[in-house]
Amino acid sequence: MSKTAIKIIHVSKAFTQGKRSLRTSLSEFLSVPKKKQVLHDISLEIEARKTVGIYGSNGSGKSTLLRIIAGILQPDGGELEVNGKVAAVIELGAGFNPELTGRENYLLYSTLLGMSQQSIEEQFVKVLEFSGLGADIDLPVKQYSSGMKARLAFSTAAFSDAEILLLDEVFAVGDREFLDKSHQLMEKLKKTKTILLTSHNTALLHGFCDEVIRLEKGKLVSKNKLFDFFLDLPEGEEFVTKVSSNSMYPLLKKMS
Amino acid sequence: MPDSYRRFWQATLVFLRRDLQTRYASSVLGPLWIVLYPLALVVITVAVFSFVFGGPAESPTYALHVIIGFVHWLFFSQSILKIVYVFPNNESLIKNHQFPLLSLPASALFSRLVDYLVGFVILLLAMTVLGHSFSLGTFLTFALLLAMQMVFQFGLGLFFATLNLLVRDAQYLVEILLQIWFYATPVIYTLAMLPSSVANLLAVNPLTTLFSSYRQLVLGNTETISSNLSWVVVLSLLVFIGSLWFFGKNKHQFAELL
Repeated sequence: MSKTAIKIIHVSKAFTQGKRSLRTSLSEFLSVPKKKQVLHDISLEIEARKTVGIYGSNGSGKSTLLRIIAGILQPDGGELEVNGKVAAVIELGAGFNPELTGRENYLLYSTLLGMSQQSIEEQFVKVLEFSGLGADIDLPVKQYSSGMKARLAFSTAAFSDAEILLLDEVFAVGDREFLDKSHQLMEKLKKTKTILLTSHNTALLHGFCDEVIRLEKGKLVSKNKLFDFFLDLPEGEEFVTKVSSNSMYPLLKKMS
Repeated sequence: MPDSYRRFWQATLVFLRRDLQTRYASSVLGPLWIVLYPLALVVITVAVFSFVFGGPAESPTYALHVIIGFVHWLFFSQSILKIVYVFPNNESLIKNHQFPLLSLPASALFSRLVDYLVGFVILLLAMTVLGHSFSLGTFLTFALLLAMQMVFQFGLGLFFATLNLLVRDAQYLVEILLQIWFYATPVIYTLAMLPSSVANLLAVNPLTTLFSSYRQLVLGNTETISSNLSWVVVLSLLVFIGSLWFFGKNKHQFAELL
């Protein structure tokens, strides 16, 4: 029996554009405020322990969707149901304090994830080993490369006790070695966690994920865009498509 | 419920630790500044104001008045300023992580409490030198009044911090307000130095009652409190509860407003 981990029904999100000032407040008062629709009526259901990739170009609303699922942003409308503890890695290394060392940042980050003191200490060994940071763990994070930050952020989230992992472009800056290592870890994590992974690299997504959905200009891709969707798929692989009539977005399953 | 309570305190402590670790991170003297900074502020201001208003030789209790006034004024104003800027200063954290947001202003208050404790030790030293001391009873009353001040300044800071995200003008308003408040509070003067009409007017200011009470507790009955403490308690609790409500109503859109 499969349980639903994330259920999104008709979720929309718009951001008010521009800065607030007395002048804009007055004009807002007189007219309809200018808003940028970032997500349009998204409906999505993700089963527990599934790994789902979200594919989309810059500005397609991937990060906003993850922020809504993580509870950082409030949706304007619709329903959201998240069953389980969430760990999100959005905007790599954001929230790391540059002055603190990798170890201190790990402590801060995992505390914010709501982990107990005991499991923070227990998991540290695994994080240290997987991230491959070695003695650099005691250097201030401002001296880290973006790859090092990515390794620390991803491994902290991966070894936390969260049941749902939201990973936004985590593998974009990693080198080959990190990608291979991550691949192995993801295979392990997939058995116990629900994972949502965004990227604009389809080949990478299909390598990691059970299903890939496509987001374009804040909409889940509809039927008439289906052809473009197939064009983006990596060559030489076989996929099974599943389209449900009421939601109009395709789910792809890689044949193995 | 107990889980969110635990998460709040865990986050508050980890933020407090981060704040104390990073505050003077790139400086040579490092954590020594946590003692040196408030020490320097108090010593300089006491020296200047003792010189301008009469001089310490004339009245050694005046120096004590100024120390008490300044240590508590700095705790009040610095806490409010730190709380007002705490959300913009942690923008990327708020935009990318989900955690109890109230832990940020709470850690800001406790961070300033550490500074205050340094100031309090200076006060204790000055008291010893000038032949004053606390009994257990006066010390406990003192701590209780200080707790009231913390409730008041936390509420006020949180209100302006929330307002500042809705309209960024609030931070300038706060700085001006604190400037006025400084002169309307017996920090560098005592109520006894004022004409009674002005002193009665200042009684509306809860800090007047608090600061006068601190001085009374340290020095004995040198001043009469013109306003009673119940006003301070009621106002502090109203401000505290009101701003918690105001914060709670708006916290969901913080990540968006930043």
